[in-house]
Amino acid sequence: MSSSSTQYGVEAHKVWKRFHRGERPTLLSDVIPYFFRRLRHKESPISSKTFWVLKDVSFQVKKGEFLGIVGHNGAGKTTLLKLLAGIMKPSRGSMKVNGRVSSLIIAGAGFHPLFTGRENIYLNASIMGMRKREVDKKIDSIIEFAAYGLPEYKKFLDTPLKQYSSGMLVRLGFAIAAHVEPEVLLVDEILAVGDIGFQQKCLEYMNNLKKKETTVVMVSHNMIHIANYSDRVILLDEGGVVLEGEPANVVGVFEREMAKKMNWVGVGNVPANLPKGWASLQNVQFVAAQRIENALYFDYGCPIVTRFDYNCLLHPLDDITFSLSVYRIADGYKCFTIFSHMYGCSPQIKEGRIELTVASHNLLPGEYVFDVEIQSLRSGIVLAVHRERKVIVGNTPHYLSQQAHGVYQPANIAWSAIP
Amino acid sequence: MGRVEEKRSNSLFEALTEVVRYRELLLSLGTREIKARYKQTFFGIMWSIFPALATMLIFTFINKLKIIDIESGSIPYPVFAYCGLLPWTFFANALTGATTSLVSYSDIINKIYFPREIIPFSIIVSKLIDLFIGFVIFVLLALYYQVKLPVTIVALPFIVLLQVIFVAGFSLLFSMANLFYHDVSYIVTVSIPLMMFVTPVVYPIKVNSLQWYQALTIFNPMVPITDAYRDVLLFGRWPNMQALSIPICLCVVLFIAGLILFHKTEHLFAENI
Repeated sequence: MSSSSTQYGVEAHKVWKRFHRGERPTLLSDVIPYFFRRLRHKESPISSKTFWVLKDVSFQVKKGEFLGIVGHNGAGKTTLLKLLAGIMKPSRGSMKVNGRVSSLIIAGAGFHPLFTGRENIYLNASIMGMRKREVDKKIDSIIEFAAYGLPEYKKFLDTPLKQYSSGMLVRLGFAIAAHVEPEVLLVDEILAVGDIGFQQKCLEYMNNLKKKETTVVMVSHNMIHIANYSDRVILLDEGGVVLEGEPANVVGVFEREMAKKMNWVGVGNVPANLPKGWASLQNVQFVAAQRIENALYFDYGCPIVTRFDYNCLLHPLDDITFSLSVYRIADGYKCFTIFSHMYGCSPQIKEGRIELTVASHNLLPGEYVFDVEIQSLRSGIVLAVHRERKVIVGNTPHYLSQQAHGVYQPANIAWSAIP
Repeated sequence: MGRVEEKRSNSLFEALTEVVRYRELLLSLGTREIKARYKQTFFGIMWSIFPALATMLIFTFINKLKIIDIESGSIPYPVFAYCGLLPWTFFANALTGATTSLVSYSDIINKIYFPREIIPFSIIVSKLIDLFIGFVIFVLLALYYQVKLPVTIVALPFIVLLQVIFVAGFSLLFSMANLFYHDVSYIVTVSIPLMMFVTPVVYPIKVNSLQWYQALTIFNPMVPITDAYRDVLLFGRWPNMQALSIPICLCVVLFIAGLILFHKTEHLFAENI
């Protein structure tokens, strides 16, 4: 093997994969007429029933690189992972995987309900390609992983699996899969397993992977995970690679596509009883520093500029204030509100354009709703609302448990030991 | 256990070395099979000997009552019958189990790669363990009836190996075919009891029997195999190599053909389950 080929953990070269649609006739009473139809029509009816799940997909993943794959349901993501895992073969093209492959799709594959937790650890681990000696060494660590934040778990290890709750099963499956130590790891939407405590453990594991330089290919619909972990992201659509590049970029394009398809204008419930016709907001944009276009993704710590056109018929104009509020989507927590009148900005004319720069919002990575409002100060009545979902991404030490770390990280922090 | 695509080929040698590389998985799936069968039972592993013992008792009873008259020579009939039931039980159980094995492992096949040969082979491993337990019972039975076990017993592993190759070849073909057409498992279930009548399981095959019956036994490798079991375990004769030569060739060819075909279609399994 030349050195150029070994620098890659995964190489897909012009991969095509064909599937059959519909049921293949097997019954004798179906097969015979089917056979005659084929004779009469010359061209085989099978061909009309096949379709390409993957069309000419090529990509490489360097050793130690983290590749994210996003796309709609049915875009071919899981098929791609199955080809990588060697479960299926491409119809055309080649797929090369260098090194021991494991995948988190298989967490819990081959679990037997009548076997105890401990027996299943050995069984499942051997299916995943671990040797008994290896499992002997790792079993304590596997148990610790499965029992993370749930000490009672260990009491169940010698209980048959049929007594386990589904959450406990998932914990065990993931714990074993996490100990395979492959060179190439395939992840299919697994990070959303277990309770919050266990999810944290899983995220911690994903983080360790980066340190260990494992090559990872991850498919997920959770754009925050994709954006946080991936070094590079591929967007699949109808079986082809549509876009490849920087995570925030690709994810942003994909989300905008999704939003368009779903006709998704805003987020949350805009109050239905707004007094109509008094004020309006148009061309609202949230822009990352040094960019011009409306962004969905913002890097952690990046200044955010909000711009909008307003139109207001209410008098007097100094009764009017603009505001930007940010809510955390996970729990609806209001992070902050900034009123324009408190910063000496009130509209002077009936319509105009306003810009608000927040240089250091310090919001931790996560999903937020940005909410721009026009309000009457004296009556407190909201006259116009515009809401959008925004995502702060970044691999900060705080992303692990957003809730636990609060809303934001204050600026200018200095810790020191006093002698 | 890396999967380096470049090094993979469809050669027979590759198929075999892959199976050898995954031998630990083979054993652990084999023991899983056995353990799973007897979990939540009272008699546990003893269930692996009861069916053969029951069949033996039935035929002993039938023979005693002279409903049919089976000549077993100097050997007490129960020992004679049980000795034939040993290879037969192994053959019947392994083949039935292996045929449906790929279908019953479909969730794993759909999720993870390992040489699929391991799956039918693991069934054979589990039935081999049953065979061993059955053999222990046979020894006890021989002691009870004061049948002296001859030296030729040392040739038993060779006979067992031959039978394993025979069963493995069929298992590969049937388990694979059963993925595409589930009829195969029904055919196997129906054919095995029929086949028992053209195999000297509970009675010896007489040389002077009907011609068509004789013809049927010629193409049945279980005939010389069962005879060989009795030869080495009861009669103190070395295996009849002349009678075994055709079955040996047949078994080896079948095994190789099965392995190649299986290995070539392996990648289609996940899509066709």
